[in-house]
Amino acid sequence: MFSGDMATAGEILRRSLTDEVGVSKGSVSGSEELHVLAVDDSFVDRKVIERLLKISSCKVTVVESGSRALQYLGLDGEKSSVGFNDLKINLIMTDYSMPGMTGYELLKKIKESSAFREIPVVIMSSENILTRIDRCLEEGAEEYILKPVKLSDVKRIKDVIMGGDGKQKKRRSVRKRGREDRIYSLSPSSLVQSSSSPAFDFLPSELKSSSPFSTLSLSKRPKLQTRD
Amino acid sequence: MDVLSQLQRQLADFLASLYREGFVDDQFTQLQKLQDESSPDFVMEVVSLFFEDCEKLVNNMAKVLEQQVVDFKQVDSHVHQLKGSSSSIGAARIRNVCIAFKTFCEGQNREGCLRCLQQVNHEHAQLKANLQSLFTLERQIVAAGGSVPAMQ
Repeated sequence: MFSGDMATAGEILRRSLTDEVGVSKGSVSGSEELHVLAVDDSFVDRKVIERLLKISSCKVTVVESGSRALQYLGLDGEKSSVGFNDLKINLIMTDYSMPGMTGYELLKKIKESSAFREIPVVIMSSENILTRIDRCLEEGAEEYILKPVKLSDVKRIKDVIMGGDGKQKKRRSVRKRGREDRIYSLSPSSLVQSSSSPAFDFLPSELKSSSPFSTLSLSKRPKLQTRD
Repeated sequence: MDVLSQLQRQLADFLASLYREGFVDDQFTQLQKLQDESSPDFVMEVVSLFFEDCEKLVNNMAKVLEQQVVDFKQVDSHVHQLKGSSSSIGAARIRNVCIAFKTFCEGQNREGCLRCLQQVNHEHAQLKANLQSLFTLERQIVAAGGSVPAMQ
């Protein structure tokens, strides 16, 4: 547990938490590197995701629960006078099914926070449940990917995140030996692409419209529109 | 054929058989890709973690299943965890048992669950032995001056 002394909160908090949660010692060129916060309650999955990200040249912080993630981000209600601007997280990847706080609940909390709502959140799940996927995307998740997570998934997500800034990267359609697409997102370009795949039939009907921009009407919140 | 080539041939054949017989699947290949000079024992480490996790989960499930009144939701939750981690490392047979196992949990079928638990134990032991042979072969190759290539 981090010490109660919050006087020089930012740096110290991050350091003591990182000691506990295991930040990878990434390369020295900090500005180019993506810093990813990964959340998963499974030992095995944490080890795998950490390695997947490190080998993809990302700086990684892995935590075991939603509440630890919020703690790390400083969103757990602990009062701090120092902003966490030096805590530069570029991406959050979280498991969906976790005891205590689910990935969905974590997603909501992040999107409710003014400091962190712009951070893309990717949900990982072993379950291909459309209502669940739909809910997560509506809540503002960048992607919902099916486990087990592969190197190509990480590479693709990284490309999307880094390619950002108005420039939508074309999404390679992901086929896994005939199985349906494992990646779902609401980004217009990806939907245009997926319309040609049989997997498209599995998407909720609102997403099937041929015009990419009408998909934005799915969003109950204006922010989903402005994100693009 | 010199010793090194023989060993490498053995490794390739052995690995191919593991895939063919469904002990491991594509995700295991993914793990191999994550191993490099900076993390030379990654596969072995993850696999060890998995076996520990598996054992722990099996013990928990056994305890729950031997109660007078079985809390099938609990068993199901453990199975779900096991299914997830076996899937993450490519332990295909174990994952498949978990799929059947879940069905028995949903059906509140104690007998079925106990059979699956036995099956998990069996597959766990087999996989462990197989992977140990694999790692031994890899070590022998390295000791003979060879390197272990990233698996196809």
